[in-house]
Amino acid sequence: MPVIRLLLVDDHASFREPLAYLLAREPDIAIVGQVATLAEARPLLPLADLAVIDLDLPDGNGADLIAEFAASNPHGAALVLTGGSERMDFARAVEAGAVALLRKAAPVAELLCAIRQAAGGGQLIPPDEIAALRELARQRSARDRDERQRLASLTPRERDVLQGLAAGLSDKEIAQSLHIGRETVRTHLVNLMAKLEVNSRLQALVFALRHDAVRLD
Amino acid sequence: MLRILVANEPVLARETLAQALSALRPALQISVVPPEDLEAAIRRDSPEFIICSRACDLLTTHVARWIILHPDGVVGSLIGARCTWQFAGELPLATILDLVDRAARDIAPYVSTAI
Repeated sequence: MPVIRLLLVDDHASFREPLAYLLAREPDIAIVGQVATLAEARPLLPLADLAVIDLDLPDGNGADLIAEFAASNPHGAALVLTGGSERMDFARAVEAGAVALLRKAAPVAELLCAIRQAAGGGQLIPPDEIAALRELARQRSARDRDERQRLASLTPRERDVLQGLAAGLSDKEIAQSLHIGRETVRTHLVNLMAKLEVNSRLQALVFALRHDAVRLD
Repeated sequence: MLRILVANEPVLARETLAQALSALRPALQISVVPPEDLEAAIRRDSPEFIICSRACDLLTTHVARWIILHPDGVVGSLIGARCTWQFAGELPLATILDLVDRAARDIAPYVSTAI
């Protein structure tokens, strides 16, 4: 009987460790690692035939790990096991190469079945669902590109003002820190909100946070 | 014999934890209920140890030892003994087993005597 070399990545130890224990008792499964983060998982990717990966991890999104696994191990299969139900997250995972999407609301028997099917080369996601998720990922990717272009159009001064918003400064405080007048700060704010296509300072800040364009000290 | 009730969410976490505990501590009596049945199970079965993921008032009045894993999705857990508790981080399986073993040592003799 071929043995499935399985890597388990989930940051909830109270879930991951009992699951790893149970899976290791199966005669056709060998656990090559059970870890909580992307960083811990990376060195173990070459050892695995199958990776069971949560998406919401402390140091990033599991979809990034799926892409790395697919690149480093073309014969490997990645199964997403998540407590979340965000379709956008599933779309990212499918785009990265996941062959199965399983929610933690599934019973153990269903997980075992999915692991064996995925390890056997099966694609557990229906083709129409893959197509729908890929289209969602494409739309998201196009939106991200468009938003990054808008951010790139900001002048260095407008970025400084945005950083002031992130620091929770008032117009007066931003003006003082940049050695400019309050009216000039307001002009920069009006201009940057127009460029980002947002209606408020808060929306501008959230926009910037989404793209890591400001620091939160 | 210590009676443990496992009622945490989601289903996979509940089933895996209960099965692992059963395999690792076969002498204990472990039962599983969905979270919505937790209160009824406490009143009906009077378990001495509960592992769940929702705060339930009966924990502090009817249950000797309890663990709430990821209460309301929060990272970490609450470890309690009736109406006292402390916040703990993410609980590894070894810690859960240790808490169970201590409860079995502290509580189970009295349970046997009472019966």
